[in-house]
Amino acid sequence: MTMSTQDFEQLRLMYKGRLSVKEANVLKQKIAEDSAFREEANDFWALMHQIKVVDPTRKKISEILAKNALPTHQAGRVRKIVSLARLSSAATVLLVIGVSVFLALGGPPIELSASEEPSIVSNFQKSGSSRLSTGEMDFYQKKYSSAAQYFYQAFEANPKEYIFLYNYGVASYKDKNWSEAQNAFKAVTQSTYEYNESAELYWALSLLMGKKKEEGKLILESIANSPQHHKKETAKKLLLKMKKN
Amino acid sequence: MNHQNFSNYLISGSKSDLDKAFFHFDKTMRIPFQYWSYFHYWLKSIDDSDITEVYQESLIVFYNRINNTGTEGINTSLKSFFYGIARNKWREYFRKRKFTEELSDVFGVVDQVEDKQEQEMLFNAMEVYFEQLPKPCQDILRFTFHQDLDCKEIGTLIPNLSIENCRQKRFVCLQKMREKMGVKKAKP
Repeated sequence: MTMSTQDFEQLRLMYKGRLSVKEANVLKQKIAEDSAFREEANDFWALMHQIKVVDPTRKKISEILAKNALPTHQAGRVRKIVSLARLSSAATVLLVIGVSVFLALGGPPIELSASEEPSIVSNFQKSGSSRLSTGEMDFYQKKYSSAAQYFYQAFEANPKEYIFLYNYGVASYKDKNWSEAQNAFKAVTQSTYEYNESAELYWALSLLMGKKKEEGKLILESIANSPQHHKKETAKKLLLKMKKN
Repeated sequence: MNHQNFSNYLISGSKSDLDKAFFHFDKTMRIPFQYWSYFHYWLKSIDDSDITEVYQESLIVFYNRINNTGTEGINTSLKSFFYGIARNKWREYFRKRKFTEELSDVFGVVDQVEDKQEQEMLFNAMEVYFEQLPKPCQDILRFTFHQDLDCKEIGTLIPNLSIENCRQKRFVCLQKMREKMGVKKAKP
């Protein structure tokens, strides 16, 4: 069954968080039962999420937020500057600390499942040109295998440009071609490419997804134990999830 | 809170004054907003990233409101007005989070683009697709997804557009965008 205007309206309201629970249940049932409808709904859900990106006000607000970004430590952690004098009473301070501890201890366990994991490897790195290349357009159109092919050819032509190999790894990962992703990320990790730390994390993820759990876990542990590694926190979170599972 | 910056904008009407006012507004509001959010919604297991998202969404609504109609109709302080917006946004956020969690099994997870370069890249790509749409489509999608207007309100901005017409056009426009992005049209 294809989606009607009315169905889309319901989906839009659900996306905005404005649909009643009763109506949401009807829509969820439809999504669960009809695979064609589900596929269409999934695309529209993602599209609504992405269309917000081209909002000029959103861009402006992001810029303002970035300009006012809080100072960070060397390790990249945000340092909060809190003027205690501004807090109305000592009770408020205690409450805030108590709540923070509660949240830190009581966070819900996150599953490390095959359907969720690929989303961690998000996108390729931008090439020098301001225009999108063929591979980049293919990537956005979710044609991951042809994007991978493009990036690989580009890397063969420019073996010193690790950006292409990195992007090849990301496209292969998205295409669930774990062995190719592993090889690409491994090579980038061992290079001097500026994103080699991201590549190292993705290498570990490719290993985990490619059923080489022990090897992947070892790399994650080494990342988590490196004080200067900027993916340290993500690696720690992943290890925690694996432990909980 | 010092509203001098907003007053400057309301007098001059200059965009740079508005941006400056928001810059200062953000500077004074961000940390108090964090504590306000933790204080009011700690039972909902929120974290810093949830707060950042709601804060940004509230700020966008606030910005559009001030940009479109100034402070007309605002009978409270700007700070209280902002927290009013934030309360609504938190309500929407919790409902949306619930639906998203329930749907994540069947939908997978929508990528969270956090890297600045990647955001810029996605912005460029989406802008290309967006500009390829006909102008009326762009207007309807902008009003819907950027300005958060419903069809009744959009009807007052676009002449001869009924509510039903607006809903149909919105759906057709998104379908067009979906096709442009390379997703095949579903078979009837």
